[in-house]
Amino acid sequence: MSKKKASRFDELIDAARSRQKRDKPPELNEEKSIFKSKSTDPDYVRTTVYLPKKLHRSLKLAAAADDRQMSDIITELLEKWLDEKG
Amino acid sequence: MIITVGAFKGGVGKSITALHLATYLQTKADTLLVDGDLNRSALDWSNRGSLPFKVASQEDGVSLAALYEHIVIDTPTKPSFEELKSIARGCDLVIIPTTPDAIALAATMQMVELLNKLKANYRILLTIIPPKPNRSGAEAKLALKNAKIPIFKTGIKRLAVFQRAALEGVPVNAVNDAYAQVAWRCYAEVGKEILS
Repeated sequence: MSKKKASRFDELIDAARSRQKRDKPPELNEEKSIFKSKSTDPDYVRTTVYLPKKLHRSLKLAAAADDRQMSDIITELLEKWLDEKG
Repeated sequence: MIITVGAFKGGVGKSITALHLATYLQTKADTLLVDGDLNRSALDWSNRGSLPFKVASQEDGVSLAALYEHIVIDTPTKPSFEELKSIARGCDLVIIPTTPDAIALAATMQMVELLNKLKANYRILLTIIPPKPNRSGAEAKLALKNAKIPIFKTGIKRLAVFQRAALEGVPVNAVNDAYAQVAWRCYAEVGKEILS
């Protein structure tokens, strides 16, 4: 029982650390800047949509959990949907 | 920053400390308070009134943690060795609140020994310090300093406004009381020491 609890702390701390790792290393960010950010990429546009608050929250959580961008998730889903529509 | 507040003895202002540090950190960046305490004091507190930061149970904290800059974890009283190990490994700072009396200090020394073994970064915070002419606060501070145990410069005074804040479900700086600012300044100073 107590072992289970310790692992729950582990999970919590790992989750918290994942955020710090993303924030901290500046060298890594420089490397990453080879990747174009969407905001400066001419092949992308920024758009506004209205989502139910709850859905937006779930999306944000899922994106953070998978370490993905919300834009990428939505792009993937929309492409799939448009494909299916034919 | 990940901060854990833990103590081997109850009633030393552990939850009050976690809650007010979260209040201070929220003024700098988004802060999450994880209530790992079995009494669920902080969750209970947030249900009663309004707190300026997010409070989550330990289970919910796991999915939320990545979204917040600062995380304050309120641990159960007398954490197990296994729990201490995870905490020592993963936290930036462990804060051990203790009242300046022999019983609480003895419990604190037990915890300090374990944390030393685990090579954790920790600091003692003296709480519920009685007002002058009582000297127990200053004496405890001196004793801990002589024992080369890291301790916050600022201590938390024993003030009735903390109980009022708990009753109203808000941090002390939101209570309408002559001593609200005095009480708040104690924790604001500790917050500054943490971030400096």
